[in-house]
Amino acid sequence: MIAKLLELLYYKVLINIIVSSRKTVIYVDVISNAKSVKTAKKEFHTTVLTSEMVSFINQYTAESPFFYIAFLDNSKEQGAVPTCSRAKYGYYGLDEGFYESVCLQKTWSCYTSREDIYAVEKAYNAIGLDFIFSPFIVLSHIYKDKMGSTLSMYILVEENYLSLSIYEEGILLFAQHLDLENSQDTAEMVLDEGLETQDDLILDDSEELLLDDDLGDELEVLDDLGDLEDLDSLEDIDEFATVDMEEELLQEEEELNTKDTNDSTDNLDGGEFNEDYQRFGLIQSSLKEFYSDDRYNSNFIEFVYIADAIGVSKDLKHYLEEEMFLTVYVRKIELHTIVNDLVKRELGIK
Amino acid sequence: MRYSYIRPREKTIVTSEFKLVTSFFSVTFFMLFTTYGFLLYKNYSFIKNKKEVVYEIIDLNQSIFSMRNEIAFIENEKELATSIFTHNSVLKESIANLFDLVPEQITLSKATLLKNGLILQGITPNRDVYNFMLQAPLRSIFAQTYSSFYPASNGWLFFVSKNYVDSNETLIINKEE
Repeated sequence: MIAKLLELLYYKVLINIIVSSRKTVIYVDVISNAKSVKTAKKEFHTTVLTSEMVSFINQYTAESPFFYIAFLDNSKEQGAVPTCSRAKYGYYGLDEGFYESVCLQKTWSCYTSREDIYAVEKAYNAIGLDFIFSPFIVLSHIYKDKMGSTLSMYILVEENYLSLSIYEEGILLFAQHLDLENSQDTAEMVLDEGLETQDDLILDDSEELLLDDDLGDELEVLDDLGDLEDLDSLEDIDEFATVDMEEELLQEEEELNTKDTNDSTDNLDGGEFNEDYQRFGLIQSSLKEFYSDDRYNSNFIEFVYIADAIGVSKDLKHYLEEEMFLTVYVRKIELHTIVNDLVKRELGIK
Repeated sequence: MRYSYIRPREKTIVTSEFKLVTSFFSVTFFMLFTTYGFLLYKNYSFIKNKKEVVYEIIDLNQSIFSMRNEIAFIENEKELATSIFTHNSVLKESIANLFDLVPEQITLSKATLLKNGLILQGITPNRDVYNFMLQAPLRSIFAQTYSSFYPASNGWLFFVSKNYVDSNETLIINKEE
């Protein structure tokens, strides 16, 4: 009773730490009686906890004893499965003793490696952590209004990761956490699978030359595009007219080129384009896995909802729409806001 | 609903520093208040004792006063007793003397001892016996002696002898008493 009263008297300080491949974003929300009093956001160009971060955080945690530090899990060994029973983890090829899990809506659970949790807790020992959230929970929180609908795919796009999940009428069917850096080989492997016709499908030299003007990086991209096209043919999707696809891809490439040359800010460099393509590759392979795996009811997916936390280019949408005939909806999100909402929900503020 | 893999740490305003400071102050205040309470109690008990002592003094004074009164009264009583005793012994002696005075021939019928005198009534064979045998010693004792006679049926004389000590002497005797 007295503790509750004191809790009302004090501010609540919610701190989110979101770590990507190159930087760490710390978002602070100071709350009084469920209302935000003050917010602060700071980016640090490091991925480990530095004394700067500690002093930045301490500056806010000193304001109230009721501070909560949340961390968005970015470990590799994580995912989600359509069961809450840990005994059934084995069915999905998981060692139940190895993972920490959270059950949601009594139908699905997300998991992460216990060792990773310990490692994160140890890494942030100087400030301590109160919450570690799975990106799948973030995703389900973003699209909680959409999940009751038909079979759809939901993707949370982070700088280095893709959290992909497939829901049908609010029930999770399939989920995968995809690592952009480490899965590159895998993605390429998928793309290169059985490339007997690779040479035939690669772009003509002339076309390559046309594109290869002053953008050295684009050449690599084009190669990737070629690979993509190979994949399409490889997957024997007959209804895909390879020539049209090729043209469309080229057209988009041209659009990109013009955009690149015209855009003074030069936001979309070759690297980003490549990353988008890589993302597409990962999504495609993941989807293929979903369709081919007997454990999942593989109906045809029509809709894709992309929660975009980093500002991906339109390419990803185009790829998905044009290559896979999916209806894509992209929603720009502020990851720290969602995580902040989750913290509030955990604390019963919202 | 639970969303996080880990549970939040227990939040409390009671930090270790706070605990230390609180315990320090609580011990200090406890000691202060204990001392204060002890002093209050001591003061109270001292005042109470003082009052009791004052009352005791008053009581004792009163009892001393009453005792003094009693002593005075007892002394008075003692003096009175002594005087009575003396008086009685004197009286006894006087009576003994009186009876010694009375010769065998004279018979006393009544003797009245007054404060300052003696009244004797009796019968004597004749006036001379009375005059020589009784009145002579009475006169030596009493300042004033009055005798009156009247004859009895057998020829003897009834006599009434009134003897008084001198008033001045009486006063002196009273004073001596």
